[in-house]
Amino acid sequence: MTEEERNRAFLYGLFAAPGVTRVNAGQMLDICRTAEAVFAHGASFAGLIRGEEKREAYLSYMKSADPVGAYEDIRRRGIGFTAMPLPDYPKKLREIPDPPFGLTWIGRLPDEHRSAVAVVGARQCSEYGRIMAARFGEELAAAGVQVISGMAVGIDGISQRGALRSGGESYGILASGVDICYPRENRELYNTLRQRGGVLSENPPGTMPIRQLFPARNRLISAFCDILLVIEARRRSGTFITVDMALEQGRDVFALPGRVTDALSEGCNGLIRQGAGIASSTADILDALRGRGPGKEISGKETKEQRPEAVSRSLSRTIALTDEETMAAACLDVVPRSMDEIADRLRARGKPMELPVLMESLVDLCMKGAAREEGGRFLKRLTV
Amino acid sequence: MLATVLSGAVRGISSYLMRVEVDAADGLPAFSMVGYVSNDTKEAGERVRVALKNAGYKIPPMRITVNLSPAAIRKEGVSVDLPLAIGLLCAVGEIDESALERIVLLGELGLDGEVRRVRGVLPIVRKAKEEGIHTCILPWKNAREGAVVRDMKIIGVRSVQEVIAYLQAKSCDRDALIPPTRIDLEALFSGNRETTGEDFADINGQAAVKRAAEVAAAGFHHLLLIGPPGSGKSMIARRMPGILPPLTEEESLEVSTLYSVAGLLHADEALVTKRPFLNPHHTITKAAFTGGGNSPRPGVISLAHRGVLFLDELPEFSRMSLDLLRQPLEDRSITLSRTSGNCTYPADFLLLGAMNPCPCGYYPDRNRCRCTDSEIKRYLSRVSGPILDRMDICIEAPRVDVEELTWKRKSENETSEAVRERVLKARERQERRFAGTSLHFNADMGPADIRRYCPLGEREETLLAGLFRSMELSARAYFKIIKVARTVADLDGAERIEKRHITEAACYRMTGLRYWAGKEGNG
Repeated sequence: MTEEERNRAFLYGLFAAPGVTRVNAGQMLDICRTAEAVFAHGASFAGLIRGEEKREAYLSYMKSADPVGAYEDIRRRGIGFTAMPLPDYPKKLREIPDPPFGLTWIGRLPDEHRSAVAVVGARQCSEYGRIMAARFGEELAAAGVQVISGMAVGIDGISQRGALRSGGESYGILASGVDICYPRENRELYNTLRQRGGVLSENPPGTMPIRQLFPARNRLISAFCDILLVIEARRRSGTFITVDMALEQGRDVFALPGRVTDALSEGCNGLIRQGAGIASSTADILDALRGRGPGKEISGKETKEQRPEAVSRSLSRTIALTDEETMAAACLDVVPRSMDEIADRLRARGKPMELPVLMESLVDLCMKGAAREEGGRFLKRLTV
Repeated sequence: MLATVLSGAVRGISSYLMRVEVDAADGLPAFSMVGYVSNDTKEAGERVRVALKNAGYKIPPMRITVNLSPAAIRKEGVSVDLPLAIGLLCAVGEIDESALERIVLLGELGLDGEVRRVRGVLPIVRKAKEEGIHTCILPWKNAREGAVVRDMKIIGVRSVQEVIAYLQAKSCDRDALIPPTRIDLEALFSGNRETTGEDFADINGQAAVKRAAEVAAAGFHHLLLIGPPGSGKSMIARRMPGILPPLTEEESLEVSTLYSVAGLLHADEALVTKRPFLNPHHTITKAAFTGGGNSPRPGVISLAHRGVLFLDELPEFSRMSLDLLRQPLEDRSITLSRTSGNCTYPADFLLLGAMNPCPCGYYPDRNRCRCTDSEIKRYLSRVSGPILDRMDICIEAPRVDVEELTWKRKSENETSEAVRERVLKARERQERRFAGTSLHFNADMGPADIRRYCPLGEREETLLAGLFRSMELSARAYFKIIKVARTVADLDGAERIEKRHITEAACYRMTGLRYWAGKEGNG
C-alpha cells in the first residue's frame, strides 16, 4: 500500500468515526497533521466530540478501529472514498459553505469539466410532472449533460431513469450509505446508476436512511450541479430546501411552469415569480449552461428541440383511431379525468356519448397506448 | 290427571313440534319441569302460575310435573308459557283435552295473563302444517306472521282468558269468538313495489356509478364503491334495494324465516317482502357479523340474505371481521358449530362496500391529496386481498361538481323504477338461461358454468387476451370480467357477449387493479 493510500485509509477511518464532523476533523488534523497521528492520539480528542453518547461511541471506536482494514474492505466492495484534505476532492464541493468532510461513492464521481443539471421535485407527482421529468432527463442526457438527483420516488427517479434511457449519465446523491438502496422500489435504478454514473453519499457505508439526513443531502444535490431544475413542487415542500441551498451556493434555478390551479405547480410558479428561469424546453436549460462561461463542455451534438404538443400530434398521426376514440381522446387531459367528467365534456362539445360506448373507446385508447388509466380515471398519454 | 298440549320451537332455522306434557297428581305440592330445559324456560312455571291466578284460575296444591318432549333437544326461550298454562288447566280439568286436538299453541305470558310475542313463529307454523296441524293459537302480534302459511287457521290471542274462552267454546262457535287472521299474500307482494322515498332520481351526476350499480343489481354482483368523502357513495348504496328485482315468494319465506327466528319481524308485517338492506357500523363484533351465541342466532350476514350487506368505510372494519366474510361469500351460507350442535344459516347476500381511496379521501386528485404512496398502500391493505378478489365490480365515485349539488332533482335523472325495469328484463334472461340449474344469477357462475353459458367469439377472445396481458389480470379476474360482461349483455338484451360488453366489464375491473397494484410509471 502506498503512502498516499495509507493516508486515505486513515482519513476514511476518521470519516467513519462516530461524532466526527468536518469541523472537529479539521481541528484534529490541524494539530496532528496526519490522520494516522490522529488515530495514535484518538482518545485525547474526545473533548471535541459533542454529546455524551457520541463521545462514548467515538472512544470505543477509536480503541478498536482498524482504518486500513476497513478501507480495504470498502475498496473490495467497489466503494470509492475521498476527503477534504485530498486533491481529488470535488472542487464544486469545496466552493459551498458547508462541505462534507468525506465522500463515498460507487461508480464514478460527476465529471467536473462537464455540465451538470439537477432535476428535482415532488415524490407524489402528477402525470404532467412524470412526463416532463422523463423528457428533461432524457433530453439533457442526450445533449451530454450529467443529470444529478436524489434517486427518490417521483420526479427524482423518473428524471434519472429518463437520462439513463437515452444513454446518458446520471448521479444519485443518497442520504443513506452508498451500499443501501433507498427507496427499495428504485432498486433497478440504483443498480443501473452504479454502472452508468454513480451513487454518492457523505455518510459512511451502512448508514441507514433516517429522516434527519435528507435536508443535508439536498445541499449536495445542488452543490454538484450548475443548474437546478425544479419540475413539480408544492408551495411548502422539501424541494425548497434544495432550492435555498442552490441559491446559497450560487447555482441557477430553473422551474417548469404549470397551471395556476395545480397545487403541484404552485411551488414552481412561485419560483418563477421570484425570478427563477422558465424551463419551457430543454433548449432553455442548454442555453443557460452555455451562458455560464467558457471551459464548460456540454456536448458536441445539437439536440432537436421537441415540444410536448409536437409529440402528441405525432402520436395521434401514428395511431389509427376511430371517430369515437378521437372524440374521447380530445376530452382527455394530462390530469386524470373520471368517466363522468369525460362524458360531460363530450356533451358540452355537442357530441354526447352513451356510457358503454365511451367505456369501449377509452379501453381501446388504453390498449392502443394513447391513454392511460389511473384509479378509474383516464388521462392522455404523452410519451410512449 | 295427564294432559298433552302441542307447541313448537326452533333450532337454528329448522323447527320442530314439541309436546308439553303436564301431570297433576296428589301428593306434596310441588312444581317440576323436565326435558332438557334451560333456565329461562324453567321460569315459565312461575310465570304461568301467577298469570293464571291473576286471570282468575286457582291451581290446586298438587304435585305438578311438566315434561317437554322430545327430551333430547335443549329447550330455550319462553314460547312454552301459553301451552304450559293451557296444559295445566287441562290437567286440573278446567279445559277438556279434546278441545286441544291438532292445535299448536305458542306464546309468552305476562303476570297479568297477557299473551306476548315470541320468536320463530313462521318456521314453527310451517312445520305444524307439514305435520298435519290445522289450527295455531298465536300471540296476536305474531298472528300475521303465521297467517302467511296457506291453509292454516291462525288464531291471534291477546290474553290467556281469551284462549281459555276459545277452547271452552264449541268448535262451531269458535270462529265467531275470535275470527281467524287472514292475509292476502298477493296484495302483500304487489305492495312491495311501492317506493321507499329514496330514488335514484335524487342523485345528480355520477352516471358511471349508477350504471355500475345497475349492472351489479342485474347480476347480483358484489360491488365496491371508491370515492372521496361526500361523493354520494352511501346515497347510491341506500338506493340499491330499490333497483333489485323484488323478492319472490319463495325467497320471501326464506328471509322471513330468518327474521322470525331472530325475532325481528314486526307485528304489522307478515312477511319480509322487501330485499333486506343492512349497514352495520364498523365497530360490529365478530359474533354479530356471523351470528353466534350459545344457541346461535343469525348474524348480520344472514339477515342480509337475498338482500344487500352494505359495509361503509370498508377499511375501518377490523381485518378479522372482514375475513370472516370469506367463507360465507364462497358458500353462501354459514355453519356455526357449538357443542350443542351445528346450525347452518343461509347468507347469500350482495356485498356492497364503500371506501375512500386513501386516508384523506382525495386520491388521485393530487391537488388535494398529499398521502404518500406507502400511506395509500397501508390504508388499502387493511382490506384483505381475498375480499377484494370477490368484488366483481369496482367503480370510482368522483367528486361531485358544485353545479351538480343542487337539491333539486333533475328531470333528466332516471328513476329507480326505470332502472328496475331493465334489471328485471336482465333477470328474466338469466332465469331462462339457468332454468333447471341451481344457479340464480350470473354472479353465481363458476368457471365451468362460464365456459358453458358464456361462449366468446374470436374477436372477443382476442380482446380479452389483449386485456389480460395489458392489465396483468389474474385468472380469477379473467372469469370475473366474463361474468360481468354476461350481465352487461343481458342488460343490453344481447344473446352473445360482444366487444362492448367486455370493455365495459373491464372498466369495472381496472379501477381496483390500479388502486392496489400501486406501481410507479416512469412516463
